[in-house]
Amino acid sequence: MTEVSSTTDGAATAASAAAPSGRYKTLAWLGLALSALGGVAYFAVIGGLLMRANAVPFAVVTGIGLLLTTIAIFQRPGKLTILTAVPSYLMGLGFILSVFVLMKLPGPQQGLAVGQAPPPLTLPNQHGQSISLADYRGKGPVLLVFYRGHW
Amino acid sequence: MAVAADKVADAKKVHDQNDLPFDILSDPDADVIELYGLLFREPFRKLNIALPANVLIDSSGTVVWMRVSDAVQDRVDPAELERVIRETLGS
Repeated sequence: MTEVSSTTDGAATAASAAAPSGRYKTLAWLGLALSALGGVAYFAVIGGLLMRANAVPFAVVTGIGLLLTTIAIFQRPGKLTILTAVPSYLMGLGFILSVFVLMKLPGPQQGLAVGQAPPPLTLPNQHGQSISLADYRGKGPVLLVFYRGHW
Repeated sequence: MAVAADKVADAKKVHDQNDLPFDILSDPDADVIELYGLLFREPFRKLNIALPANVLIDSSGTVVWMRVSDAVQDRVDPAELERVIRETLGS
């Protein structure tokens, strides 16, 4: 390898200026793969519930992907690095934006506070019977456990 | 009582599979969940999801303790819950 570069230096430089060298090619593809992987894996693994907290490891993978893509395109701007950069940024930034910016969590619970009565609650139970919070007044304490559902 | 935005049939399945001593209430349109300020609308599959929350109400109908989280893995520690129940209800 070293022999080639010392004798054909001019040609080698000209060639690498025209097209991304092997290392940056790998970086470009790897960047795209990780960017895409972060988002795709998140949706595939997490399934129904998208909550910001469990998106973090996937966002890290995506972040690394975006970083690699950026390095590749800055070090060796060329057809390949640009071609891989576009989908990489689209998927990577799209994923990060959608999870961390667009998804709005509900605001503070105004109706629900310690020291005041909770909002009225009347819902069917697993047998279809209508159950009300009011039914329990005077009868005993109630613990409401809200959970995600969709199991 | 447990509340989720599932249908009654799903609630029955969860209840029977786990042999639970308490009721599972269904709020498929998430109206009550929304009233409680616990509604999270998942945008990609248009799901209504209740934020994990625990609300302890005494027999006079007042909230004496509550805990709301924004991560589904965040489950309240049963020991802490027991302590809270004992302290606030004094039983």
